[in-house]
Amino acid sequence: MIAAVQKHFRREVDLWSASTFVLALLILTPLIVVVVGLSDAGPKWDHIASTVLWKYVWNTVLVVPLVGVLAILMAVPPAWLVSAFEFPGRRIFEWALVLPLAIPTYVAAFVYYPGLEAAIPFIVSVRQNFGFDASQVAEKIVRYGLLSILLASVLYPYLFISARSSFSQQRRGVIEAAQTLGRGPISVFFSVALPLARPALVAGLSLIVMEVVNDYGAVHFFGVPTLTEGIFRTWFGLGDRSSALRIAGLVMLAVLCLLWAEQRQRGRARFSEHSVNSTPLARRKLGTSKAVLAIVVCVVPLGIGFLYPVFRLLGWASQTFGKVLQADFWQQLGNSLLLSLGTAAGLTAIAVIFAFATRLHHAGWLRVTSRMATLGYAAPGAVVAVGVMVALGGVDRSLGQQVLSGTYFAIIFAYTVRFLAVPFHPVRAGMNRVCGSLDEASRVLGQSPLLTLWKINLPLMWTTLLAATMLVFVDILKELPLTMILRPANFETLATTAFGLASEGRFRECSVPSLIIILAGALGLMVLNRLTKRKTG
Amino acid sequence: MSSTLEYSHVSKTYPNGELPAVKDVSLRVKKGQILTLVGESGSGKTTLLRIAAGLETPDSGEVRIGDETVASESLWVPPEKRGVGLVFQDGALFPHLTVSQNICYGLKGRDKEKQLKTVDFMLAMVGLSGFNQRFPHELSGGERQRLAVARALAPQPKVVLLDEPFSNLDPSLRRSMRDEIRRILNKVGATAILVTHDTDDALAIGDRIAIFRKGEIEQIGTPAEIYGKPKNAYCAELFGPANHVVLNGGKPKWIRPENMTLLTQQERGLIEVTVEEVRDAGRHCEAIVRPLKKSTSDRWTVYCGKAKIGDRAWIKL
Repeated sequence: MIAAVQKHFRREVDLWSASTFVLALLILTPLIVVVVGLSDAGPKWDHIASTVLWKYVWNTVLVVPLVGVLAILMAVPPAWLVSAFEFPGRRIFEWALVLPLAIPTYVAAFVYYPGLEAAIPFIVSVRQNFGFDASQVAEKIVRYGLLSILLASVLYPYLFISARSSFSQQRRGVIEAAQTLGRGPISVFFSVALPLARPALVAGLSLIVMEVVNDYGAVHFFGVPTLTEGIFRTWFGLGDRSSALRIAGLVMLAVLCLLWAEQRQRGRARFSEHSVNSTPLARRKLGTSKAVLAIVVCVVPLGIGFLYPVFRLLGWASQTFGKVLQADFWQQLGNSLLLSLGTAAGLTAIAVIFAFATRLHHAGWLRVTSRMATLGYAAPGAVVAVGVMVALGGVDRSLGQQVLSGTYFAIIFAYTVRFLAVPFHPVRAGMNRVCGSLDEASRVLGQSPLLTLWKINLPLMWTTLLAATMLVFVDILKELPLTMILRPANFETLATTAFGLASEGRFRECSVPSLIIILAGALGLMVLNRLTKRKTG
Repeated sequence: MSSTLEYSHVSKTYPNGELPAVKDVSLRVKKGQILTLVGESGSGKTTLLRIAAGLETPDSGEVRIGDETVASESLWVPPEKRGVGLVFQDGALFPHLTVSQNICYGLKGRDKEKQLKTVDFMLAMVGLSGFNQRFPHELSGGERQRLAVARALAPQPKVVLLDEPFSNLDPSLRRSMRDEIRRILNKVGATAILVTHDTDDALAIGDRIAIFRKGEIEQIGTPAEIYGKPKNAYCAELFGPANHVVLNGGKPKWIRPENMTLLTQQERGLIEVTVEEVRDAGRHCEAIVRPLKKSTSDRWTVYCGKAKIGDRAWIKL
């Protein structure tokens, strides 16, 4: 037994696997801290549990399915239309419908917030006609409804992307078989296309759920405190660290359950979806009136989620850019870009180490640890932030002075925990696709692993590395809740600047940083589009 | 230069595999000899190669190259220190390096002039002289495969391993490449193992052939032994039609159709049969015959000049 362990140790432990293991463990620590923190109730826990906790849970449980249903309505019909039919503008809609992803939820919230004010006359009239209680209900319906619509309108692309790729990969034969068996287009959709796409739809939906749980800015603006906001209020409002940690632990547990359920259903579905060597669906041409209807179905989500917000922001920006573009704005922009870009490059480097180590050693334990280290992507930013703060606080306490907390290291470390998955998946896939057996050939020809990486893997995949860096750069640039909690004193990113201005009611001024974030996001989407195209083509 | 390659009691099971990929294999390839390893896909033959190259680690057993043990319970030499040449199934040529740079890749540490000389020598040997500055994607399939061989041989490895080197080539190219690679390997006197699932490749190239099945060696021998005296039904049928013959309760044998003669007249020691089917297969006329004596079992395929269905005939072994 010991001999066997020693043997594995000798063969599978080297600089690569050891550094992967240690890094993965470090990255996992905050998440472990959060889960362990479940057992530890803070001084105000009983108070929280008996008063506001259920409101947080209830709000989360209410908003998540509302957004889910709205996102399905916004994403699935257009996805089916662009996959199965031909109509004017189809090729534009195919990619344009993804654009709302470039808009962070909090920016959408700034844009739609004035809508609440517009609803005041309606609520007043309800009050006059049906009394105070009815107006309270009406006000809630407007607030929750508007919040759900705006969240759905910027998050539906997750579902649209997975639904579109599933519909377009479905075997033509299956659809045609249904047609020859006498089913019309609508019946084919519900009896064949939709059930076949189920795994993809669930995957897309679970991303939306995670984003809703992650959101802090929008729910804050609309006064719908979900669990994420609960973490903020408990820590910074009540000053109860342990209870905040416990709420974070609950959220983490729920997210892990969701991930597990999603993986399970996907695992079984793999057998039913053979998309290899399939002829793509032949698109049916729509007549004039139906084509108009199809265009409307596509324009509505695009309009709510992208066109209106962008035009609104552009309008505001044209009035205020002179006021915003001052010296300290440029400095903030520089800070924000530097931090995001530097961290993004670092994360890509870690992703390269992980991917290369798992290629060098076909060891199960390495694959598992590197996958575990990317779990942070499923955790809401506030949860990661709490975990990082508690973990680093523990280190500081044991050192007897504040070394790590409140520093750039803390925030960079937290970004690593949260976003490592973003570069890791494309880098790993890219390395496996591009390098095939080339690095093995290099080893056999006498080069060490390090030189092999330098001479073969890296030169061959630099475009993938660039793309991966770009993707994670955009994610970091627009991140809000984690940054709010962990940023060093007086440090502003574009996201916190925009949120700060909007919190003070200066909506017009927050348009400039918002537009910059959206521009970066759109660039990120273009990169993503190219990456996925290369994978399928 | 070239050395012996020896496996003793090597086993390997993949973490997610239920059956061992390689099971207690002992095998010795003499200096300068070419062994072909033939078997169905998934039989573990590629794993055996990768173990010798150091790309997989055996669970137990030892691998020796020359006098040096490169893998055992207590020792494992990484691939870059083994002095093994490996020709990959897909060539694994570095797409961002020229033909010349691909060949030089394994020659690091030697002086530039020597490297260039080696490149020219290797290219001349594989018939690619003057291709130095091309990139792999500018070569044809056969040229790419020859470059892969040249790259593997350039550092003068102790052992050359070839993993299905012809599988991506079309049949006509395959035949000429087969002869060429045999010529090159013989010329440099390389000790080599060539893995293939094609029995024609195995017969044409190997000094010896090992039949691999489910991680174990079924039979090992010269091409004549493997073809003419298969040990069991699996080994027999892998190399084409063979007739199962049991004579007077003796040990069963497998005899190739071309080693049976169909006669129309009785002689001593011949086996009497009836002709059941006759078919003109182009290259030869095939007859399916049934021995009259039950103990000789089965139906046999034989090649015949003239036979009619229902004829009584005699078989000479």
